[in-house]
Amino acid sequence: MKENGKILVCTGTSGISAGAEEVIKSITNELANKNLLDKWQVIKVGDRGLFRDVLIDIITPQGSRFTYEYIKPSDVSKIIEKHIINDVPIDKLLAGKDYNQFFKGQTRIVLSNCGEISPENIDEYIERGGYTSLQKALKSNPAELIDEVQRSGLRGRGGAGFSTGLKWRFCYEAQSDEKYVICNADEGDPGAFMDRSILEGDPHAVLEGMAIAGYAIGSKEGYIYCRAEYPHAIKRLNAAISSARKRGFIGNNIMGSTFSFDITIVKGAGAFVCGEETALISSIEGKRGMPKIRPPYPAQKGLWGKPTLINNVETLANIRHIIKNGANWFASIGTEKSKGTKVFALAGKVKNTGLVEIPMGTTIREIIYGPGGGPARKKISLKAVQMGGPSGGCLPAGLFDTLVDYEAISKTGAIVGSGGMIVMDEKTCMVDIAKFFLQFTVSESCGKCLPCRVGLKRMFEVLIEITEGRGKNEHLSFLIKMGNTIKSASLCGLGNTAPNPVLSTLKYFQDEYLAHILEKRCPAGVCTNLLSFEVLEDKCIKCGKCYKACPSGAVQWKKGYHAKINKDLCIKCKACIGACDYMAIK
Amino acid sequence: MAKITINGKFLEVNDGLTVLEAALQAGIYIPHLCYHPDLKPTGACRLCIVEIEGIRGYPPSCATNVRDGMSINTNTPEIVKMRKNLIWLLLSGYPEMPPDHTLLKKVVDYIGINEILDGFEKKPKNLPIRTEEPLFIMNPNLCILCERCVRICHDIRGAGILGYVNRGIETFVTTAYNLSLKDVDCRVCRACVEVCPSGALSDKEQFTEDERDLKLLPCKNTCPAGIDIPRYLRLTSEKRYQDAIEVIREKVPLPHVLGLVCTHPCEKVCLRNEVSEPIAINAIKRFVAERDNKRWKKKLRIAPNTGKRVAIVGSGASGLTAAWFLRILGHSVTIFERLPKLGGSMRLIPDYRLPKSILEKEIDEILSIGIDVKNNTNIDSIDNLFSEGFHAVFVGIGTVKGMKMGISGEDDNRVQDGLSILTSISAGKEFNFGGQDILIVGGGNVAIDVSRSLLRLGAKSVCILYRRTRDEMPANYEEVTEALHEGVKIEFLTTPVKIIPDENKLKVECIKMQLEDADSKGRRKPVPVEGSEFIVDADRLIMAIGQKLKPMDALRINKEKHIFVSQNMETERDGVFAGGDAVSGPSNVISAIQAGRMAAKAIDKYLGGSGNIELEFIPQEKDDPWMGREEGFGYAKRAKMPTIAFAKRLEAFDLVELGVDEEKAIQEAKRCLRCQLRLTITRQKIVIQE
Repeated sequence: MKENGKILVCTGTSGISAGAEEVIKSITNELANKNLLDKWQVIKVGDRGLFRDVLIDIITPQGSRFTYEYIKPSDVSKIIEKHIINDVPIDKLLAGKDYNQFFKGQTRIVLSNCGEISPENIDEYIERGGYTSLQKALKSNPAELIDEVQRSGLRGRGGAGFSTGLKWRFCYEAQSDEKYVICNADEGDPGAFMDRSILEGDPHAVLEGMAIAGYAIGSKEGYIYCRAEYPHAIKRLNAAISSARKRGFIGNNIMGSTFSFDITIVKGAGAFVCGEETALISSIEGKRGMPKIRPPYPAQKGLWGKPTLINNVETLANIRHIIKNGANWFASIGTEKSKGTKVFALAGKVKNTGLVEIPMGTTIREIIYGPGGGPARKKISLKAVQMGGPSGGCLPAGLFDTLVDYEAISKTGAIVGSGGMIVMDEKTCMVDIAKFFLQFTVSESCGKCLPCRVGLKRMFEVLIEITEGRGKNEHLSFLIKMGNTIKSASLCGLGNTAPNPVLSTLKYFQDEYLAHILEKRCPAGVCTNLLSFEVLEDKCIKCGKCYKACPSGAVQWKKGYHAKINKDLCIKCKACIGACDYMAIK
Repeated sequence: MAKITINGKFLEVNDGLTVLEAALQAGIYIPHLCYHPDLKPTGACRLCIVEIEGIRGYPPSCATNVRDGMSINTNTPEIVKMRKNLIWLLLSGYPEMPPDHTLLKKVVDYIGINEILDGFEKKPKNLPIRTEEPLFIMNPNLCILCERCVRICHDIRGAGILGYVNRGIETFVTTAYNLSLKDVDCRVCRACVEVCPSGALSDKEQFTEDERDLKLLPCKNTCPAGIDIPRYLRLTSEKRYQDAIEVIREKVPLPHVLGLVCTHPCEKVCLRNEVSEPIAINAIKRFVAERDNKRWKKKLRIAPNTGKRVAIVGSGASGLTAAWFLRILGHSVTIFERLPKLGGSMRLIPDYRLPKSILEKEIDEILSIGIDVKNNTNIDSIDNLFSEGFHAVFVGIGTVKGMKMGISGEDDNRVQDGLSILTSISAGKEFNFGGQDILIVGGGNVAIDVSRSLLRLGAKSVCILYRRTRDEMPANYEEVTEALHEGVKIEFLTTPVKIIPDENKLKVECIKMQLEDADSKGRRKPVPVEGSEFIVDADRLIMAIGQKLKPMDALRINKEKHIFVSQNMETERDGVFAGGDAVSGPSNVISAIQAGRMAAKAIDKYLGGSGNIELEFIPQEKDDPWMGREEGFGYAKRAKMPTIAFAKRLEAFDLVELGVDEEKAIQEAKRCLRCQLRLTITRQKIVIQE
């Protein structure tokens, strides 16, 4: 049989926003013009987690695969003409070294289908082994399944890292005529988008995980709580649910068994705190999304007062692999207490940013210098990585050899969390970063418990004082005392972790705080109020980059001379500081 | 039972208690603000955190159940420090120190504050204070977001009026879209105010502990007889009319009479007044009285005969009531009445307000429990009663002598006394005032009753002269309105000074009055306006300026010319008690009934009984605190009392008010704010034991 060629276009949220739909239109037009529509199939796949504008793959009928990056509609005719018709790849447009390095260091299990299959075509999922795990699960008894998941060592990927198997067991043991499975797709950490990518690229994996979980704990009803800011994910989930229902993978009497399980999507309004289990449940129930005290835990009294299992998207997407390959296989990956892989949203001052799936036990350094490709600017050295988003903390460069392992990372003051990983260099102000995260948690605090509601705000106010040059000595001890009180006394995970960005930067970068407070100086050149906008001649190499970057004509420079800044014209936009590779402007 | 230790103290406590409850029961205080015994714990204030061996972190004791073997520490140095930090935080957004009476203040004083940031300036929220709402003030600046008000409104009342808006530090408690309480159908039950620990919600009218019941449940506590008004309103709203009438009958034996003529002081103080209009309590009383199927008779138990005999002199409301309760307590009771028929001054109320048939029906019911009557019998000597074998005497002889003004010309036979006219009308004497111009002097109910009666008896014109203004008139406000409506004229600030008898007419010289500034008792004395005299012609002038006691032998009279009694209705003569108008001066039916109740108590005690006259026809049941939502509740109008067609009114003495129908009665009963529910909320002891 003659194989057709395939053109894969990455159409996740990032692909679509970069113009993937226009590129697809050009491809189909061009193929139609050349009468090739019956020979080449255009497939919309999810994103791969690496932002390269529009990414397309040409898979020839012979099976050779070529990846093109940064594709614009205007490139399409050339590619069709030269590559598809004449079989000559266009080297200039092919994905380069960085693209390959990004994927080389990864072990893609959860993300294995993302960017590879059409999320809207259930057959492609089935072709790659989809729903066989559900079939296998339905043949075993629930207790065995739970054993298997527990033995695998899988831990919740949403942030807390609680044993998934144990959670299942609690729900399984809870006595009730009704139980619920909830997929927590309320991804809220700034910069984290692994859940979105999975939902957009491989929605059936999540549905399959939910159905297996439902069977294991004895539930007939599942909910996916997904934020309304993820319209593409919701659209694809809806499509996936209806096609899975048509094929009998969810709904009544799944695959001819006595097990029935259906799934409903609930759209959340995007409050960060709704990622917290009890707040999420309140939100589904139509109430204000505020956490409740635990116990009772959702496993005992959750949605509508019934036992409820809440698992994160990435956790659920792991399930089918564990059932398929066995607990031992999964447990063979990772460290003693942290098994399997973890997806990180690598961001910040590295060359390649995006979703990186690595085995537990990889070092931070391996991530940064492997898939990350090292510092974004060679001359500016890295100084820290922030892990775990607003709940997490900073880990200084000296600890880059720490393994990715729940306990090992926690010990440093950061957390694995949901997988946010922001790399910072000398041009990142650690006080400013702490302030940034605190601003986030201040505005996302639900307002229920005193320490989080008021305490974070008071800490934030102090950080503003410090970054605007009104810092006082006693501010440091205030931040520590208040931070510890909030951590210990808050009601939910948001408050329990929100002071971490401050406390961990205070631990590793106290000198930066002191520079702000005592010298009224921001070493990274970020806090505008503390900058004098003067060129340090001993550091300036007379390159003129600042001159070119300045939008207001304040920087004066001639080849061979040090730059100078005319303060009357300066608008304090910091473009000069951003352009300088030598930290020569203070 | 669970064996636990708290701060090293060994305790055995009930399973199912929370750590906080167990500690409080054992006299170990753990500070708390958001916890309230009637509400599900929410864990918001975090002050009640403790350390428990084997449990990570600092669990809130309000939401942690005791478990066998638990070892709890409530006051470790870490916790104490943290609590002080939390108090600092709490007050960092609070405009001043909390008001003294609040739970918050006590807790702050107990914990103390860590001043962890030198020179910190408080950052109050500066939100608008809502003072325009009925009955209470909402000051969100004092709010500490303990969520008690929200929880009680949602979880206990089912009203869901208050809620959180915004997030984080911007959070505050308000109504949907900040609408007024009435616009969001608030039930104004004030449970929120009751549980507020911070002063953010406060009663507009502050009160002392002693005044609490009166201010919070004014209807029941203002009713002289203490009728459980909220209870019978609720029963009416549940269509349990027999239960409702029995609740009234637990206190009074003349409910139907009251339903027609009670001056209902309860309605004047009804807090619904502050929301829209007071509940038509008396109309509901009449409504259920009309439906009384006498089920209570089967429940009524008359105590075995005590062998004691009581003489009741006078058969007005106080005498009848005293007779009723004394008979129930097992005493032999005989009523002595000088007139042929019983009822005292109730008989003088014209039929258009109180038909004789209704009065007689209720008197017969009272007598039917075995009370002897000697009518047409004047009692001149109390001594005789004792020598006849009575063990105690109740004197309820009312005030039956009309007063005179002492002006010249008042001895003319065309000058009459209002009381005697009413007596004659009531006795069925034929009158004809056809074509006559009538002047009446006075401002009380007698003046009004006479005026309206004479219109019905054909008077050409009826004009009342009253020396003060309408605001000071002692007559029922509604009665005055009806009188005006029917065509009675009232000359306010006017008083007669001289009557010049003429052959055809009485020439009545009047003078205009003006009110002086209020005296220390708040009463404004009327004084004549010099030179304002004028003359009015009249066929008759009727004095209704007051009435007084016709004294009995050997009973001490006080300086107000009433019978002197001690606090328990006892006169200075052993075994002789007195009550009603004869003791208080002219008053109203419900006050006379209460006098009869108190006398019955005192007499029973005097005769060796317990003095307990309380009846229980309907066992107290737990009032369902769930109020739910009711659209338009705040704006719901008072039920209008339907009346007979105006044209028919003056033709005869038919009852003017027709009574409300069932639908209206239920609607009206449902308008009740159910103030009694607030008093069922557990009050937290602010006393901090150590």
